[in-house]
Amino acid sequence: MPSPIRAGAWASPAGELEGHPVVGPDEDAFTLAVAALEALPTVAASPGVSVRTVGEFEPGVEDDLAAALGLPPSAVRPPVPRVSFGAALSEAAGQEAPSLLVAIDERAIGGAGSAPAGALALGFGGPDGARLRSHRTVPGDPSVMGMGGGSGSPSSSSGVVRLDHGPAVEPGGPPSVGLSGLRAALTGSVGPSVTLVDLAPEGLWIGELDLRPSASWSPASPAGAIFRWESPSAFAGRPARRPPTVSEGAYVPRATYRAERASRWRFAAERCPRCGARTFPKRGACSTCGNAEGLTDELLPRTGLAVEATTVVHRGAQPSEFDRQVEVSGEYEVLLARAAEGVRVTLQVADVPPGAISIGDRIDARLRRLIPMEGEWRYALKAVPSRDGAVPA
Amino acid sequence: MTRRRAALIGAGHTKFGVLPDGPRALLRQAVDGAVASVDRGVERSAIGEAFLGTLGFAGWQLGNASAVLAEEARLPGVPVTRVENACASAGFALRSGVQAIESGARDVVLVVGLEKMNDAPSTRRRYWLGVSGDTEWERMAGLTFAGVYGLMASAYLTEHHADPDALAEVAVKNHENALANPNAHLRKRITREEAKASPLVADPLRLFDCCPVSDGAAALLLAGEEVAKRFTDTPVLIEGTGAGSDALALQDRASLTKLAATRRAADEAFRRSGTERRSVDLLEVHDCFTIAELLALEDLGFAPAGEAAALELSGATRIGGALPVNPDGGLKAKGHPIGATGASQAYEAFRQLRGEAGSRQVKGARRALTHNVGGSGASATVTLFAAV
Repeated sequence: MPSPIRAGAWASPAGELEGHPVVGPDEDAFTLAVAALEALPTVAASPGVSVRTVGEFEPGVEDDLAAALGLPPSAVRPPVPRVSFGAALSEAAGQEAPSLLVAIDERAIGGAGSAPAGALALGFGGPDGARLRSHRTVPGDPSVMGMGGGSGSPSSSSGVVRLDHGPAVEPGGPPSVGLSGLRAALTGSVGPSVTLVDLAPEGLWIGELDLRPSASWSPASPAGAIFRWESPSAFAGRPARRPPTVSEGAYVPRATYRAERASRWRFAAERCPRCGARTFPKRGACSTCGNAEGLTDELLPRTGLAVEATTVVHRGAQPSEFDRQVEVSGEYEVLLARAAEGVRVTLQVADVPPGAISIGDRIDARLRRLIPMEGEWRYALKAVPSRDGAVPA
Repeated sequence: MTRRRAALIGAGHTKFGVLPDGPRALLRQAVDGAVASVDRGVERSAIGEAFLGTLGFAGWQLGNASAVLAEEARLPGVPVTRVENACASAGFALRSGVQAIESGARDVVLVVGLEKMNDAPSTRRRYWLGVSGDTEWERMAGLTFAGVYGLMASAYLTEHHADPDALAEVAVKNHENALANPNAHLRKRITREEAKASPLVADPLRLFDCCPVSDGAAALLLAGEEVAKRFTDTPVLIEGTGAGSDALALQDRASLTKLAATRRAADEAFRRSGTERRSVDLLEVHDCFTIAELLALEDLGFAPAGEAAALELSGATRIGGALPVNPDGGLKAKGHPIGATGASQAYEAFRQLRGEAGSRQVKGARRALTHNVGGSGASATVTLFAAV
């Protein structure tokens, strides 16, 4: 059993992590980034918002991030190779419209290191966003300055946070971005304003970041969120980052899967103006009356869904494409939950031991990694115990 | 009722189990058996058309399998149509055969069900075992049919506060019945305690709640009612068939504990045959998992909602009980070669209604019902048979 990680919005008034125990063999750069960004709903919902990434993302992640967040594809910028955290942060903070920065630290993925890993998101602009008061870059080679390397331990004395850098995830790749230093700032141990020092390839980047610029700031609309691995052992036995190109199992064509991302990742349904019924997943026509005109998109709730049926799929009863998951993590639970009047969803359970969820319980749906198919990872919403308790769906 | 009716004049059945024979040999054995069973004989040239029910498990001859049946049945030039409705393939092939005769298009029709499942490695078998479920959503959550029926069982037991011992009892009964069926895959008596102690597969379903993975084939010869007497003095009349469909995925169905496709199929079969449920002497129902037998009894109209469990525990469904269910051992113990099952059920009806079922004979059986389900309930067909 992998160790739990804790994840949640960092910015509660007391400065603690609002912890939520999860196990993470089905988490990766993409799911962590989505979780971090979803913790900043106010900024993410701002008109004209743009999103930037730092870290080891797969090519094309911008399209998937946009789909997962319900943003137009152009809102998420393609990853910039070898971009430093400081440079990306300056760029994000310099936008006129609200913007989001999401950084991923994947050093522990694939068993490459012992440092914690996770994703962090910062929101800029609007009344609640963080503000970069000033920044400058001191030219020079960090390795010559004697400050490079992968100690993994941040210095956070006197409000100065050094962003630790680790070894490359892949041989010859860029150094990874360390987030534990910034996390120390965000969790409040060094106060709402922080000096960040980043050992960027172009030199020493120094920035003054104000994390709570507004008097109207509230925990409901935090400027930053962090998702961190509690222990790298959660990654033990993980498959390689790149999935096999040949998949053994039932086939959902890539184009079909991608066209359904809004339903798979955000519970997008269609509401029929003629009969009022909902159709999930979206199919372009009402499944009750057949009407195909004037259907409106509706996001089904993703929290507090009531469980109507459960089963634990034991070793050998899984579809063959789940063999690897069973090998690594053992048996798993699958349930049916009611998402809305007339709409049920089928979800695999994550984070808790199989059998932990029963009929009548409430669950939340979180985006997680599922299985490799046709040379890429497939993702889906999975069920975790509801944090909202008994909320009517 | 003035419509022409169809009758069974012969039926053949291979052994079910892990067999050395390949698909062609199984087809040949089943068809030869059916031809040999016709009391006064039948020339193959009399067969005007054939229907083949098969999934093509593990990828066997996914296209144009019909031609293989024409070859192995020695029916050169005869039109053959392959029917695929997952586990209900042969049930729907039978329905097509019945319709060909009822319509007057043909006088003699061959219907065959086939599946060869044990010649693929286990990974490939598990790949194929769920292919008739909803691939895009159910399977992507990690479910095969054991998991889907596990969900239905959990909902059923909770909704009706049903005694879970009823699941084990279905397994015990069907294993007991299979002891008297020389064609059955699992011929081993089990106890309720053994069933309840068997390993979990998809809880609450355990290993002994699941049908085995079987090879096998069954063949049926149908003739128009008025020509049937040329071939035998004791044809078995097909009084009516019914069929229905439902959403592919469980999440899209109105109920988790009722199969709408079965209900529609049963209602149609009874309506077309003009018979009533109380006149049925035995049922052959689709018990791919023990929970499916409970659901079938309710959906077919032989037990009120939630009461099938008590009916099973009362012993009424055993041979010699008031309503024998699956006297041949059912899918559970006789075995379930996916595409063969619907034809195998009709074979049992043929034997029972002619009094040829040996030590598993239901005494005085005059009317039988067969019930064949595709997937977890996306399709279903019901057929009513009567002794003449």
